[in-house]
Amino acid sequence: MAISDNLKPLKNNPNLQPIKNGDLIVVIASSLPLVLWIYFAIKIPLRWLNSERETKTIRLITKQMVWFCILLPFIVVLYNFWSAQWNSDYDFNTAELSPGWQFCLSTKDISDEQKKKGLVARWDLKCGLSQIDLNTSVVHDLTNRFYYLSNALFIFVLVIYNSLSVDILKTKHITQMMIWCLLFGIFGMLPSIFNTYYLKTFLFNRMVGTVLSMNIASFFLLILAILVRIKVYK
Amino acid sequence: MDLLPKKSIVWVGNSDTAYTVQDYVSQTFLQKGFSYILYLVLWGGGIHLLRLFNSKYDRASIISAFLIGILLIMTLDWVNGMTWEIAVNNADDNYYLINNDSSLSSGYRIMQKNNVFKMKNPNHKLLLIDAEKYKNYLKSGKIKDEDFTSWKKKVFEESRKAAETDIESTTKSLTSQIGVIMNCAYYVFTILITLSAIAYRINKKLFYRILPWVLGSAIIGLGSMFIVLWEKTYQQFLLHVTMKKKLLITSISFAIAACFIFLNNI
Repeated sequence: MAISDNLKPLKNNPNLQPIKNGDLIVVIASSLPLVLWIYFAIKIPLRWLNSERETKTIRLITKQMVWFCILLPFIVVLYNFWSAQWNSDYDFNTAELSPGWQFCLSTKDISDEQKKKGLVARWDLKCGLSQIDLNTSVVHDLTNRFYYLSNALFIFVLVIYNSLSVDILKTKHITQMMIWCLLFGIFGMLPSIFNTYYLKTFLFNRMVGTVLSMNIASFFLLILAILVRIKVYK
Repeated sequence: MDLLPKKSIVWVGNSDTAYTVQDYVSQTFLQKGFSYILYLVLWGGGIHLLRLFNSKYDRASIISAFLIGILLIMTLDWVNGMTWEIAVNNADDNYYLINNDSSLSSGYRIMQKNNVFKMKNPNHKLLLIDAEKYKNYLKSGKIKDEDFTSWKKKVFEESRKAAETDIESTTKSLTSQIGVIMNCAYYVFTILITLSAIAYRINKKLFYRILPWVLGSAIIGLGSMFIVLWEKTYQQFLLHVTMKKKLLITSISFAIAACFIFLNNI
C-alpha cells in the first residue's frame, strides 16, 4: 500500500528531526536482548543437548520441546514485528504502538503566520498524563511478571527440591539455567528505574518485554532439564 | 554523528496553562558528580565486605558488574538530562527527535507577559517554539517569562488555589514513583535470597563467596528505599527520587556481581 501524503514526514524543518524508518529501528532495538539469548542458548541448552551422554538418553520429542523453548523469544519478536508492520501498512516510518498509546506532539493547525513567529508544534499535557499512566501500568505489569517467575523458582528450590530423590542442583546445566533465570529477573527490574520518560520509557519497556520472553523460555528450559534429569537418573 | 535537530526549541506555557504534573528534573553537574563518587564509595564498601568475609576476588565478575552499573547510571543521566526528547507526531505518525538544549537556564518556560502568541484560557497545551526566535522576543521585551520550576515553586507557596488543583496529580505521581522503586528494591532482594538458597545447597564456600554482594545489595537497595526525607518542594522530591534510582542501580549492580560470581564458580 502506498503511503498517503499526510503520513509523509515533515521535511526541511530545522527544529524537528524525523527518524527515518523509525518503527523498524524500534523493532530492531527491542530485539537487541536476543544477542544475550543467543549467547545463553549456545552456552547452556545447546551444549546440554549435544553432550554425548544426553544425545543417547533424550527423546526426540524432548529435543523438539527444547528447540521450541530456544526459539520462543525469536517467535515473540517476529510476531510483534508481523502484527505491527506486515499486518498493517508496511510503512517502516510510521509508529505502530499499542492502541492505548496516544501521540501528544502535533504540528497540525499551525498557520503560516504562527510558523513565522517560531511556533513549531504543540504538546498536549492531558495526553502526556495518559502516557505516564500507561507507562506506570506497563512497568507494574512487567516487574510483577518477572517477580512471579523468580518467586516460582524460589518456591521450587525451597519446597520441591527437598521432595526429589535426585539432587538436581548437582547437575551443572540445571544450576546454570537457574542462575540465568535469576539474572534475567534482575534485568527485568530495570523498567522501574526508567519509568517516567514518556516515549523513551515505552520503547525501553518493549525491549524489556523481549527479556521477559527470554526469562519465561529459560524457565521452561529449566523445567524440561529437571524432568529429564529425574527421568534418566531415578 | 549528531542525530538531534540543529535548532533547539523551548516548551512554553503561561499561567493559564492547565499543567498536569512534573515527572522528572535534570540533576546539576555537581549532583551528578556526587552520585558517581557515591557509586565508587559504595563499591569500595562492597569490596571491603569481601575482605571481612575473607572471600576471594572474582576480578572479571566484579569489574563486569561495576561497568554495567556505571553504564546504567550514565544512561539514566542521559535520559533524565532533558536535553532531548523523542515523540510521535500525530499529524503524520512519524517519530521525531527534539533538541531541548537551548542556552536558556531551562527549556521549560512560563510566559508572564506575551504579545506574540495567542493562548486559550484555560488551555492544556504547551507551545514548542524555536529557541532563537524566543530569545529575540525576550530581548525585545515582547515576552517576559520565568523558568517552569521556579514558577511552580512560587505557585505552590503563594497560591492556595493552584496547590489544590495540582495536589491530586502531584500526590498520585509521588506515591506511584516511590511505590515502583520500593517494589523493585524488594523484588531484587527476593531474587538474591533465591540465589543464596541455591548456593547454600550446592556449596557453602560458594554461598560465602556471594554473601557479601547479596548483603551489600540488600543494604543499599532496601536501606535507601526506606529512608523518608520530608522534601520542601516537589522539585527537591524529584531530585531525591533520581538519587534513589541511582542507589537502586548500585544495588542491582551488586546483584549482578553475585550472579556472575556464581556462574563463574559452578
